[in-house]
Amino acid sequence: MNQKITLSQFAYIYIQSQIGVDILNLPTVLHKSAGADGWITLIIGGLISIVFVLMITHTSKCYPGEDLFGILKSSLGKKLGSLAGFGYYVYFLVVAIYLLTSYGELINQWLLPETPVLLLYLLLLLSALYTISGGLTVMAKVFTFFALVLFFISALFLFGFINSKLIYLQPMGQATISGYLDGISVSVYSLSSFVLLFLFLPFTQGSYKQKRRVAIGANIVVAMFYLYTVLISFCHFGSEQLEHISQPILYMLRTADSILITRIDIFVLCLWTVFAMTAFASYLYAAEKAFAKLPKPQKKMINVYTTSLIVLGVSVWGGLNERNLRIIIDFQDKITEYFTLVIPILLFLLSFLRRKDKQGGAAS
Amino acid sequence: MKRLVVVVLLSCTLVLSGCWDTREFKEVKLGITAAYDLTEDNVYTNTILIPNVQNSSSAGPGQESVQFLTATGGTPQEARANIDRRLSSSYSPSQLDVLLLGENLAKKDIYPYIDAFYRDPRLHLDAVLAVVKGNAEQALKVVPESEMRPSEYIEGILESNVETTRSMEVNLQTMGAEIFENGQDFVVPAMQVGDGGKTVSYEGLALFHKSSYTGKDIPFDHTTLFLLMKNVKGKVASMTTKLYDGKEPQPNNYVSVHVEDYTSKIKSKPSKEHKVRTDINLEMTVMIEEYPTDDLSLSVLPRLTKDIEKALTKEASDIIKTTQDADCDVFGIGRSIYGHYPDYWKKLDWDKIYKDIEIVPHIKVNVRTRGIFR
Repeated sequence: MNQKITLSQFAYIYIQSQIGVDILNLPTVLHKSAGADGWITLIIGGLISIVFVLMITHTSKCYPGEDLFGILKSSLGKKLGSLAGFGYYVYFLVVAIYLLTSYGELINQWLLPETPVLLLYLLLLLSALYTISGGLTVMAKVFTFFALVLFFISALFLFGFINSKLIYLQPMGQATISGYLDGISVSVYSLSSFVLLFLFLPFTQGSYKQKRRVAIGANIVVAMFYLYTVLISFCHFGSEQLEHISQPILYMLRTADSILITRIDIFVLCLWTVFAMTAFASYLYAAEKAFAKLPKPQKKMINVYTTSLIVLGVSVWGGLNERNLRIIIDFQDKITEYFTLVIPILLFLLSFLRRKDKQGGAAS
Repeated sequence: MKRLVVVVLLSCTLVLSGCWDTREFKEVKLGITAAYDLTEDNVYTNTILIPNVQNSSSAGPGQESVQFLTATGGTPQEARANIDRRLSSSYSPSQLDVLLLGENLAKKDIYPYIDAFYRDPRLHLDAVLAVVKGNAEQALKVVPESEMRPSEYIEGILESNVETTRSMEVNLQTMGAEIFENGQDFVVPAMQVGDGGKTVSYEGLALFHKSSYTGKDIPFDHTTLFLLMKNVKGKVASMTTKLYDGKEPQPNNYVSVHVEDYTSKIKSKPSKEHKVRTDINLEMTVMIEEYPTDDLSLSVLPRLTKDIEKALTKEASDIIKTTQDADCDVFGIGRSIYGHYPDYWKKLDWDKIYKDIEIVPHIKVNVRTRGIFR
């Protein structure tokens, strides 16, 4: 890992790992928790995620050149650090599994009902493996290239504005406080890939000031993109219907008719697989990095294969029926809080202690 | 190692070229128009029209032959299976263009019959709806000889009326939000078989409440004004209005205007006497298209404008009265009250009070030109 990625590559790699499965079902999930105010909670959640980005860049600055696992070890001590590192390994695996199973289910429901799901998994896994096999620099280049899809797909979403009514955003302020809190946590989790910043930041060129600026900018781009999709689907469907539709973004494009493409929803779904792949690849990469840091370092490709075999195995089990899928999602929900919110805050606080130590050491 | 990867990837392309999910065009029969009916004794029947375009052996488009199939069943899906039994290849409604609903069926809850369209991702939500007064199957089977493509006859009628602002496009998706959402209802084009079963004609807009047909319509000659009030305009819009009574000869009582530009604003607010007061402000810039009285000097114009405004306001009041009698909140007044005054909305029993709320049309006409003959 001698080569570093440039700042713009860093921005794109961050954006692409944020936007995954959530983009399709976020409007419904938000609406279920906060009603028509879902978009307000998304804005608040976006602001909170920026705070986390700031904390993570700060922590990373205090431990120059070290990635997540290095930081864990130097701030928590060797034993606890390794344990936390292993925890992150599990977390990344679970997220990767979640991404893979949701992707499989979606494609199965919408596009290829007859194709065995295992093959869909394999296809995504192979392309993700190929992407990350070249290391971070290659990954960054591929992700930068795929950013084109983001602009294209946002333009296609404009079809949703046909038949939309602004009145569906009214009335505001009807959700309860717990609904708001729910909505905010949903939106923070939908932006929870900020943890991956720990892995990208040390390998990015430029000063920390620049990195911080880029990370915040990228975070805002993702939040705005989410807001855009949420607003369109709220205006298009209205409250009552939205509750019944799990992928509103695709659903609203079902009638959009253009001269070139008859079924824009299916076209968008195909483009979306790019996002599914990039987000999945980032987490696979993270899991592979974590696996490499476990005791007894192995050869790199073995890490990759072990990780992907675990992911594939659990995904196949999860894809068997909805109950298994539910177990995976519930487990992910349970641990997400610790690994995306608690530990970054802890590390952030510990980084202050360390700085004091350092200053004290320098003085004496 | 590298070679191995290449081999694996290449073999992937052989194996994974989507063999499982191919659905070949030659293996399905596409239904273009479907008619859903309820018979007298509440049996659901489904009639479909399948165009057959394979017999164009000579050059140029061959005469299209159509096939009609009728089946009964508990649900549309079962009726589909029953239709399938009589076809050599399987029947697919995924390219359905028009869905005709018989009057009897529309008066019941229509949602159970269209549920499959929302649920199955293979079905297109683009299908246009229409209510047929009487039997929908009968309307579907009308095949005028002059039409090159009988399968497009009904769709053509609906589309051309949308262009001239006599009707609006109502497909399953635009209707979806309105069926589910409280405080707003929708309209669907209404059709009728005429000329002793030789033609089908567009009759106006059928008013729906929740998801059933109320039995009342906006009559054909009021549809343009109604749609403009609802802020919908096709490519062109023109209206003929009766201004006076008792002038001789008869056409002198009328004027026709061509609407060039318009703005429509609907504002609702709570009020004391009628619970809710709604103002519909419609401003139009028009061209006089037809004025049989033949004396249209500039000095007459202000009076004429006044008269047009008066006549149109009266028509608008009639339209509003029809919608209120039908209990069809087609302007979405309830949703707008809920949006802007949520606390007030909770105190209202909308279905009950909608009949009595005050809706006032304000119509302003601005005559831009009188045409080239003065």
